[in-house]
Amino acid sequence: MSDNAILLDGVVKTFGDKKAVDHLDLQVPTGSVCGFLGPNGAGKTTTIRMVMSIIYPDSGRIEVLGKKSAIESKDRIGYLPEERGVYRKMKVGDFLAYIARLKGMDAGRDLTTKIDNWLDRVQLADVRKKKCEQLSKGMQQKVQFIATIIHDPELIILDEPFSGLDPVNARLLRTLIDEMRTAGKTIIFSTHVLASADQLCDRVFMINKGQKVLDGSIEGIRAKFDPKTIVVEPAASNADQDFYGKVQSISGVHSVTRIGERGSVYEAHLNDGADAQTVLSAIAAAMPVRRIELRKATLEDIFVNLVDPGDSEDTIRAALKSDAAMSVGA
Amino acid sequence: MNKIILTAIREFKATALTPAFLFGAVILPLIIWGVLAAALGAGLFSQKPEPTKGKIALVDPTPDKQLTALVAARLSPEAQKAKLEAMRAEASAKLAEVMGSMGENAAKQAEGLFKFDPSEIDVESHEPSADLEAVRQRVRDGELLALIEVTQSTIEPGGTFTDQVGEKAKARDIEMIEDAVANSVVDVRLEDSGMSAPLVRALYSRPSAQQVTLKASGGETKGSEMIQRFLPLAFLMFLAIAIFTGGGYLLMSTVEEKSSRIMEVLLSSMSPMQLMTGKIIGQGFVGLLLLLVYGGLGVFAAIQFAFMDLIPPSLLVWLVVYFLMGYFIYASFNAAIGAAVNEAREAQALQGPIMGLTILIMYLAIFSVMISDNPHSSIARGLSYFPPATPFVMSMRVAYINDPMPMWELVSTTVVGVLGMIASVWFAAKIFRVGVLMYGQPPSLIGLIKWMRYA
Repeated sequence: MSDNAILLDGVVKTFGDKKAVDHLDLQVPTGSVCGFLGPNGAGKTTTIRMVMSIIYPDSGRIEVLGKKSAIESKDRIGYLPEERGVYRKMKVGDFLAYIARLKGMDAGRDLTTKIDNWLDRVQLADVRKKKCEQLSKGMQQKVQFIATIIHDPELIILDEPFSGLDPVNARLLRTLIDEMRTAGKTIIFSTHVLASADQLCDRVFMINKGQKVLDGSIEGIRAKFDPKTIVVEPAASNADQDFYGKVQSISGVHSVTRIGERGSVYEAHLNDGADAQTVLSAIAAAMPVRRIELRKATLEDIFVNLVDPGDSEDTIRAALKSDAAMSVGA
Repeated sequence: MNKIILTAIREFKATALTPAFLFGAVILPLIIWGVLAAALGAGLFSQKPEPTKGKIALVDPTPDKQLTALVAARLSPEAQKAKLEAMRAEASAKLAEVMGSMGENAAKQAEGLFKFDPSEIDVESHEPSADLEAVRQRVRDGELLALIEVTQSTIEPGGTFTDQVGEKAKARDIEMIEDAVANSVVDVRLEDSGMSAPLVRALYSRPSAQQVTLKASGGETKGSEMIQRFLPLAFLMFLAIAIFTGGGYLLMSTVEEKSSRIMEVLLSSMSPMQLMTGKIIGQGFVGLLLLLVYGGLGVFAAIQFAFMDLIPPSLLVWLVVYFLMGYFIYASFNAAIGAAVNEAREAQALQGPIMGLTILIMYLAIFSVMISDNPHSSIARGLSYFPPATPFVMSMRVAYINDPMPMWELVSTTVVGVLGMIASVWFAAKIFRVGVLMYGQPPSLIGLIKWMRYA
């Protein structure tokens, strides 16, 4: 098997005269958990649909699980689309069995047991005989998730899996994703909940306007986007004047700002090339502090940093929509 | 392939195994026919009337009580039986004349109607001079069924007689009695004129026509006009019900899959072509089920009236062929429309032109074949080569069993129809592919055709 579960090479997809995906190269290593980030309309869902062979690229190469396209390996992939639903009139057990059989599983007691186990696992043990329309939205989402992974796929693609989940279910989903990682599955999920990506991912890639703007391991990205900011909370509550003078005089510190008008937490911004550890020690030595830390770059910082506000939200999607309506297929 | 079958099975189950469908489309017709069959079996239609026992008073102005003897003879059980038999024979002949062997068989079915125990009615003769008030009182008391006053003027041409009946007298008996008196009066007139009444009546019996169709090929068939007129329309109805019901369900289920956002989940497991094919096949079986229910009931009726031997089995094969052809063509249209819209309401705008076309085709089919009563009219021939019309027009044309289609025409229209069917499925697949993941403003029919470029 190839080292990469997914490989995209120069993939282009155009809707009308808008490039939804523009020469995208991407590698998703087998066994990794990848966060797929980007503002609305960046091309995430289009990319995922091309990976799933639901739509086809205008040019470029896609390999999925070592095959030329996902069509040859659809049964080994679990896909939870952003636009997801259930057959409302079907019973939950029948629905899951139908989806599992579409994914190549055999009907029989094994499948029934498996469905029961999964429903049990997500605290829906008593709904197997209920119609899908009788379930609450949250319950339906759990059923949809089971439908995605019931056939034990090697590659799991989740498009906005956290959207619409309450905190309890979001935590349950995170636990399940963690379990699947442990089981050696390759997982990709697109999300806006950056905290989730931060906690779950080995790797992230971010696209904007169809182009890749970020790709790498979480650690590598944090290092790259190290904001060189030290957060300090002095022990003395009335340290204001003193604090500015002392900290500003330390070599390598560019400026000092207070977080909030009345707060007692400050940020020391470092010069380019300054060694954060040295400055950290110098500040600690200069005064008693309650708390001092090198601020970790969150994905949110990176997201905001990389994405021009004008590109975000629905501006691109709105522009795309009129043309997209004309040309989805291949 | 397995995925197509799975989809087809789910589609069939989701549509046909619902209580509403089973009741409306399957159970209800079966119940209706069950009741009809039970009624035929139990002879509900040959309910026999209770024979009446009684006496009538007849005022007889003829010498030697000639009229009384004639009326008594007519009301005798033997005469009643003979009369019923004559009525039955006449009805059979009429039915056979109009409906061919179907009519003969229908008459045979209805034989029971003409078999029941005759009433026993005695005739009490009175002189014209008798005291009729006492007799009237006996009628009032129910002792007599009726008092019939025939006068000398009744015997003259254009004469009338009075029939005074009791409250409890049955209409059937009164009719029979009046009939007997009237006929007896005519007999008296004939005999008075020196003619033999039985001879005159025999001379008046009309000869019945025995229709035979002389075919161009040299053979001949017994005339069966009714079935000739009835069969093409029956075929058209069967086809229309099966094709449009299955197609309608296909549209609804596609719209439902779109509006409930299950489409992309399905497309992660199979291609749009597999999904569409599975759905079309599944709903095709729904249509076929309807065709079996209604067609089966038709065959049941045919056997009941024993005219099944008039329908060549090849005709039923053609019915299935034209069903498949028509179903695939209209199902493709519906699949494409279902995929293009977001909800059922929006589908109507796109369905409009297709509905219009369908109505036009139906009208032309009925007009060109049935109304003109000519399966080889030029409109009918031309329409047979227009694929959306082929199954409907051809199903009517082949149903003209006395006027069979030339083989070359059967083959060439079938080839054109099948090509049209393939083209519609291909067209629908393109629209389906583009449409299933498209949400928002649904396209116009022109826009839909434009989509083909993108697929």
